[in-house]
Amino acid sequence: MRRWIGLAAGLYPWSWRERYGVEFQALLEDVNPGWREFTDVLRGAVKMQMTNAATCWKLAGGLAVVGAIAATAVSFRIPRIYESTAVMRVTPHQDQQRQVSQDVFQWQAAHQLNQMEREILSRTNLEGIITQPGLDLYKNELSLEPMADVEQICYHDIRIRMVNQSSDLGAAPAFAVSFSYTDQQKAQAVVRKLTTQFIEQNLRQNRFQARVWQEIWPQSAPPPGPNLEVLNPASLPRQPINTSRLSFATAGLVLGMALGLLAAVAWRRPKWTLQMAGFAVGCCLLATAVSFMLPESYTSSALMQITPPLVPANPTREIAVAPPAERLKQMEEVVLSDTILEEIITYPSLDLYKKQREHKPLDEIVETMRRDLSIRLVSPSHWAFQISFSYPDPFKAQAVVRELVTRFTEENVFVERERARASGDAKSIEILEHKVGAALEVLDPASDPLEPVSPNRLAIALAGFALGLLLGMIALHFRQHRSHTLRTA
Amino acid sequence: MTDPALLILASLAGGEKHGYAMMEDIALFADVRLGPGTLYGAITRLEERGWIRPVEVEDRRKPYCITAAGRHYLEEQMTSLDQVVKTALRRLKHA
Repeated sequence: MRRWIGLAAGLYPWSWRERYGVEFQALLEDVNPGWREFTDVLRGAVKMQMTNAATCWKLAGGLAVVGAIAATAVSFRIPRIYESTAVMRVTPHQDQQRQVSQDVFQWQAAHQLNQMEREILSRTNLEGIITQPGLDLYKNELSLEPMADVEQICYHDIRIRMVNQSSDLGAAPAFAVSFSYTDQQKAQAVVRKLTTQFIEQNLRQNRFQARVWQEIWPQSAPPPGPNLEVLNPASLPRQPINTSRLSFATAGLVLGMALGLLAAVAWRRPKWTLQMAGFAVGCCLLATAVSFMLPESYTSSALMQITPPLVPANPTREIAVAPPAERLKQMEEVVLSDTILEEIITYPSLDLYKKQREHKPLDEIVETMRRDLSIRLVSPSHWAFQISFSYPDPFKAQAVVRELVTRFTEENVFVERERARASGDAKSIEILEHKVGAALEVLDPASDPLEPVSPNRLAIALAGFALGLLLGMIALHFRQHRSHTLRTA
Repeated sequence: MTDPALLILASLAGGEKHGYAMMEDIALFADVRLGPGTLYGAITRLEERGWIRPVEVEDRRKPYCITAAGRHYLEEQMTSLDQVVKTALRRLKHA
């Protein structure tokens, strides 16, 4: 037993042994060795190690190294992702006599790009790319998941974004097409395929527009559509785009060190740590309970797009274009008028703001509804705008958005019809009938909100936790101050 | 009373002692058997706070003595303990 006690004594910190080692050994020689003495020395060694500042740093350092090693190991398990990119540009046709103004060209180009994007990112096309024999993409994923899910993965791996136009690119809209994949060669091959598809799609759309033009204006030659050119062909990526292994290791190192320091504090001041944790958990629970008492709010959204006319009302004139914000504002004024909103609020099937209506006039309720409504341009270049409505009942929120989508569509048809009728021009009416005039398209119908947007329970709980820590610190400070004052008195 | 720090101070109030002598003295007057780890843990803390100090001798068994600050702290603790004891006894008598 004396040997075991000697071994346990060797576990005391080096600096402590330097100071007390000799006399401690002398004491151990004097006492009767037994299990009680052994456990007492062992417990003393552990306590001394943990109260030693150097040990705290050693623990933090040890955990930091463990964290760094674990993070590096994880980084080796994550496959390397490579991204190939090609840059393309839409340029106006070269026919000087039939060239449209810059605004109209931008509008046409944005619309054309949008159409091409939708066609290329369609599920059928993505399936074609995934299963192309030469590419044979997402082999592992296909063995585990259905094609529809793999198509979604592929959709997210393709990125089409507008490129900031430098002076050498001129005013022509340029965009980058990227694809991220674990194989460099395949990533490049997919981007090559996508650029080819964009060019083919552009030609197809130009031909379709020329045919529509011929139907309306058989006597005049249709203007050639915008050209699409490749500025930078698909790149062969050399470096992966994932977070580097060094960053992983650094993150693991920092996290490990933080955990180590936290553990050291908890060990050295267990009472203080427990009290702080008590305050934090208590406030967190209280905040969560409060969040469950707050009324829930669901938001339904729909995405609409103003589409430009395919043909002008007069073949010799360019297409008249009102800026998207202006056009949207005109429609918004009508659709969100007091009369229409009052009508929606009092629909028997909706019966919105029932309780508020009992003690508030209807015009105040209309203002409340306006605050719960949001209509904003999502992408001015693509002429898309989003309609959102937040309400405690998810089904009513969706029904309101559906109603507003219908109202916007009706308003657009009404405006176009009025314009055609006012002009008295048979061609304008024909354009309206062919549905090739300015139109309003629903990109995403009113969503069915499954989760409430407010209250954000996680954020409230976290805020409660942080507040608990702060309150704990203040309370412990005051208690310490009070006991010090009493002791002094 | 089982606080090792107070027991050591009380033992040293009677004169300087080395570790084993302290253990034996405490066992005698308080009927508490301190283990070697507990004893030296408390000695380390008391020396850090300046309440005890080692006496310079050539022997491996180093004796310790109580300092003025240590004596003051012990007096303070004993006074408050005395008050508690007196109050408790008085209340027990009247109960």
